[in-house]
Amino acid sequence: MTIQGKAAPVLVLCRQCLRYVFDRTIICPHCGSDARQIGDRYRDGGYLAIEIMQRIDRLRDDATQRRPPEATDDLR
Amino acid sequence: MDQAPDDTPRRRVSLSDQLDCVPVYVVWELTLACNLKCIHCGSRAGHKRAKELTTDECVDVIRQLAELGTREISVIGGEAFIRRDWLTIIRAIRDHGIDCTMQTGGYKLSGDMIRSAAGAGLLGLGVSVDGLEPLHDRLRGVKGSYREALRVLDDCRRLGLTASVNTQITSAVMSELPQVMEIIIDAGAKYWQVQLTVAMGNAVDHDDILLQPYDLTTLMPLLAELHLKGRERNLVLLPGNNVGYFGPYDVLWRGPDRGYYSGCPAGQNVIGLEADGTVKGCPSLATDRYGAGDVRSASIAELWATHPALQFNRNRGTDDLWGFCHDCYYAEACRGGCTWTADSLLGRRGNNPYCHHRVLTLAERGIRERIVKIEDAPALPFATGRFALIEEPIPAGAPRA
Ligand code: SF4
Ligand code: SF4
Ligand SMILES: [Zn+2]
Repeated sequence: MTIQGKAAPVLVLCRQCLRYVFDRTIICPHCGSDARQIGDRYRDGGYLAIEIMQRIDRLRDDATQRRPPEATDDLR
Repeated sequence: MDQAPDDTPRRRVSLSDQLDCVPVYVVWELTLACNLKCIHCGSRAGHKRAKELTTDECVDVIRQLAELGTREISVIGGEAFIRRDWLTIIRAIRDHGIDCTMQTGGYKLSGDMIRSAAGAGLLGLGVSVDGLEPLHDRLRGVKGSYREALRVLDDCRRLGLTASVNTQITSAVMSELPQVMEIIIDAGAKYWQVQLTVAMGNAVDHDDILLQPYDLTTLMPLLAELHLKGRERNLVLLPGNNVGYFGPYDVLWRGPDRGYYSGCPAGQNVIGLEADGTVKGCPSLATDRYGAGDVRSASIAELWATHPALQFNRNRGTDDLWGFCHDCYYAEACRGGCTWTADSLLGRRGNNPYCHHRVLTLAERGIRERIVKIEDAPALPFATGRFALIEEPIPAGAPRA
């Protein structure tokens, strides 16, 4: 018997205020800044490195599921 | 539910686990018999249930779960170790390649018993500490239970068994949390899982111990402070599934390396089992609304695949959401947080006032929410009462953020 579930949507951290926002959010609903622009807290807290590891994990998951890979945003 | 800390790699739910609804984690009430009398106990444990599963039936349950892909079983009670065959069950879990952990109050769990459990394959023990000695003993209903819990932690340290501490967050414990942390660090705990006390069973009878939703304005900064202090001393403070959601401190304890809160996994990646074989999506859910038949009437695979009471999380819809959660920015990801917490309180899932994001958003509008009991809970395991949710202006001088 195959059971089909759905997956949770992807959330990422706003790179300015470190609150969670939906992937590909441009303007953060919490701080009103550009959620993609890397802020000091984000860089200094080591979050950039973790984010890269997570993207690799997600690509591997996508490959296992034979889903088209997500577009890779540039890590400015 | 009382849970084992969820940052073990085997417990992590992958994308394929979600899509294929693999019951990665199972919490199993081995018996409802208990030697404590906790005034917050949701299952009203004390006496064993009529018709608890036999040893052979338990081993068959384990075989079925292994076939479904379960990777960790946490045995709970009542007190799991009151069953005479508890070591046989732990050994059978390990023999089927499944990790086994146990949650306990620790009362009368001797060092020899812990050694035997470790020998049978138990990987970790979660011990409840709900406050300093007077408060813990009052909440747990047995004098001496606090000292026993700390003695068990010490035994675990001596025996090299990973020990975690579970703490129920009641209104009374908030001011004691910093001291509790000092004590459990000294006792050798490595993980500290905190969970809000839920309005179910005995806790409905003693509703003065429940937090008000607005108490999160004080609690969450305190937990953040303790999390950071704990880290410096090798203690990982972890939020239980009903501590959240998406507030400014979530980044501390939910990621990004551990992962953000992605909604209630009951019935999608979690199974709860009652001692008589009743299957639920999560062990803590109200049996009358979420019981999905029992293992004597059908195989677990069949119930898991077909029973409507297990399906409600799988398509991740937002139709069940109401109240503030319905219009929340995080609705699709969070889906009202912990089903148990919301459903037990308001009689219906999908609207959870115990949420930091919500409390902060309402505070910006000068509003807070308060709960008031309007109906008692019947004298049954996992029984729920009814609470009204009242919106009111934040009184002058009360904390807002
Ligand atoms: S308001 Fe409801 S849906 Fe939104 S984050 Fe809180 S619990 Fe989740
Ligand atoms: S109802 Fe869902 S979120 Fe709450 S404890 Fe159970 S599985 Fe976890
Ligand atoms: Zn932001």
